[in-house]
Amino acid sequence: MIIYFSKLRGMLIVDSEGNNIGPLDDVIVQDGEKLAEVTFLVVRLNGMRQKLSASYIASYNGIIRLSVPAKELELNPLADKEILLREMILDRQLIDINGLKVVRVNDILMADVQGKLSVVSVDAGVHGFIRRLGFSIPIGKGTNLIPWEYVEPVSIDKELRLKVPRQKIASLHPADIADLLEELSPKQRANVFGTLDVETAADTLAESEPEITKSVLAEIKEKKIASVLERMAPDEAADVLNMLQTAKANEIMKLLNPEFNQKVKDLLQYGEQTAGRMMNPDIIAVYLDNTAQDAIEYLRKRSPVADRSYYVYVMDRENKIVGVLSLRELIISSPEKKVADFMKHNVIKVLHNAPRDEAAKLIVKYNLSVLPVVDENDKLLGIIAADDVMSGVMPESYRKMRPKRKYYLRKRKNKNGKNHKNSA
Amino acid sequence: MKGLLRNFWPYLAIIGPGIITSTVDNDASGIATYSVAGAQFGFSLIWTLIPITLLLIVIQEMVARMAVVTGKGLADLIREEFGVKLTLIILVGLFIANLSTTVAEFAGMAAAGELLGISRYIVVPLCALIIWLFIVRSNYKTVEKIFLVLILFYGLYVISGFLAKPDWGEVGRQAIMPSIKFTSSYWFVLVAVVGTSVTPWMQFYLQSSIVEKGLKIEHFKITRWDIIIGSVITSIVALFIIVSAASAVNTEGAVSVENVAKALEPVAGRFASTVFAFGFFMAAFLGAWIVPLSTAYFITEGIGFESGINKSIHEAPQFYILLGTTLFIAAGIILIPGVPLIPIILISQVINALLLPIVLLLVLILINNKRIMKNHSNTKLMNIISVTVLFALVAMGVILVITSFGAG
Repeated sequence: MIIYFSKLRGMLIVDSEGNNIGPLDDVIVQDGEKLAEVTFLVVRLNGMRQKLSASYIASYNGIIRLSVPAKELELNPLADKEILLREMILDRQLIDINGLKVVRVNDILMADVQGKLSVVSVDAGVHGFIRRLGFSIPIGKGTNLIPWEYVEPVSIDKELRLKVPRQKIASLHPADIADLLEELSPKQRANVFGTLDVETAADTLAESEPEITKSVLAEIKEKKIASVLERMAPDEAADVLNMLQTAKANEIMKLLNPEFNQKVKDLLQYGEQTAGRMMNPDIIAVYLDNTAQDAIEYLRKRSPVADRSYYVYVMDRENKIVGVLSLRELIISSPEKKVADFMKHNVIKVLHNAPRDEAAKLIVKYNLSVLPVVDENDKLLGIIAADDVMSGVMPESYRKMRPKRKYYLRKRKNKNGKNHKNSA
Repeated sequence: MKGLLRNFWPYLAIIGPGIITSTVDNDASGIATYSVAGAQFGFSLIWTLIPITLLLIVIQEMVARMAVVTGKGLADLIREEFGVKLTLIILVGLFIANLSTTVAEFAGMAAAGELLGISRYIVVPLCALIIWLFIVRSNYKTVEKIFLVLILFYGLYVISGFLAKPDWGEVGRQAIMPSIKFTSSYWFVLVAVVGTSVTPWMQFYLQSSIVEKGLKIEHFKITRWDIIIGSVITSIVALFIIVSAASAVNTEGAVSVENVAKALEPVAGRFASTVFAFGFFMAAFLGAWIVPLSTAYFITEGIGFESGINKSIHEAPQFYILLGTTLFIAAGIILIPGVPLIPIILISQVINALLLPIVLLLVLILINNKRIMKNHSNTKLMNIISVTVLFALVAMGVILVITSFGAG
């Protein structure tokens, strides 16, 4: 049997002998991964809210009939940290994980699941709204039922939610989480961001627009920011620090590990709009007389840090850049061959103080995936990846445009076999 | 609303929500009403600006406090605390009030256009189209600049006030010791002046902009000053418009902004007259842009429709329908030949004046809720002041309705 919360709420509760107890005021649920089980019914007795176990429910057809007489009922006052449907879910906003948007809960659909009354989905559609106004409407086109499994309440405070560690949002692509954050208010943003693990948080920040990053960081403790920044590329971390007030940025930099801190500091020396400022200093470079074998071993050792290393650069003894090798070339060559013998000699590179645009133009013109950045003596300083310049050259309106299809999403299966309107 | 302010905000963050709200507040109907007040009653309505300033500060302080404590917009709080039925009533009320405000804005554009020598049949459709394109193409950068230009234009009102060379001694005397008239037309204009200075829409707008700025209770001291300064600016601009109008025209008969601007020319020179007209136009244009847009945001977010200008018409049909209807119905009404402009502006104030006490009542209930406001709910003194304000507003609403039906 299914029932809408709007119909259930206000229903009269009577005991097994037919005595009135009072109308249902709210229900308490226990959140789970797929469903939220109703654990208590809340009634208002003498102006006080009291809860009684949902296990007393015998039926809820027009009236809620309990299985025991009133005198045997155990009534308790409400405890802290309980999720109340009317107070915390109904009429509030939550995130529709699949539709990637913020919706408002117009109604809540409940059903008997294995003998227990549970929340199965929320109604975010117009029909739910109309039903709440007192008109009855059959399930149809205006119904937008989102399974409980795919929603994430945004205004429930953190401690309450930690009872059930939800990985719903964290399972999304960071670029999508960044989009979602934009739809939220600053307070909700901090709430949602706080639930992300550091790794996801770092990727999300890297994908966010500057204003959003700023508003999120304003609500978060320095220590947490530092641990998130360490998971980002040094140039991205430098960008983020640059957005903050100097005092706060300095505070955070003190908390970074010294090696990472140094990299960020070095980057911040470069002018705002220069190639040097946007480069990643984690590079892989070998010397002319190293063999292919040496290079591959070095690459293995360094790869956890230098995760963009699709090319290995070759330096002479004065650390001047003299050649480049692709990973492919490195792998197919025989292990004992010296890199000097099969490297490419003309390396397209950019001077650290060249404007960003210059780097972007070089990348586009020569179809590069990575562009090395050098100083006046041709010493290799870092690399700029093609995707780093993309956001700079693309107009904002283009970046903000959403892809029509959400290729990466799991398709939600609705009961009536239809896919969610926005996922198709 | 979030989408609107997000794009809008960085540029304006320096100015502060309170000051911006006050800028938006002096829209076409504001300027028109102040002009009428000055032209018909000289300096004798200037005293009202003092209680109006206090009224603005009291109401906006509460709204701002709710914003920093809850981090939610007014429409959100109404929906969450009062449920769907009341939300729907408020939102429908807000829609009607804002539709009529938008009509008033287009009336302002038409009047200003004709003053500058352009037919309303060109100005109104063109502006409606430009605004629609702004919204759909989401090109806010330009509008941000218009906003800032507009603030400068208010400075020009001050200049035009000086150019009109009023008797400042008399202005001061009237502010402190007013010669209140006990005629129905005097009270009608008085209520209209209050009605145009404090609107329901503004409260929604202010609360959302503070929420979107992410201000916290620690910042509230600054926010309070932001509101006080904003409210004072609103009244100063109003003062100068009244002064300009009063110096240029003095008639008991019906007047309009056109009369005032034209009459300013011999008194204060062609420049002052053009400034007056152009400032009027800009205020109307901005109002016609921002009122329908934020209304569409409040309504869709309150009910739970998709909203946001970064969504397509297919994704968020209700949002665009609301926007389109407001914008084009408003423009359409102004294009009806022979439609009287000033009564339209006054009707929009009647609707706003009726909605305001209801909104204020809800604000009072919300702000006294300890669960929502924690230990920042209203003090007894604040409650006494605001309940008095509420009764005054109800009384004014009644006066306005009676006199406008009497006049009509």
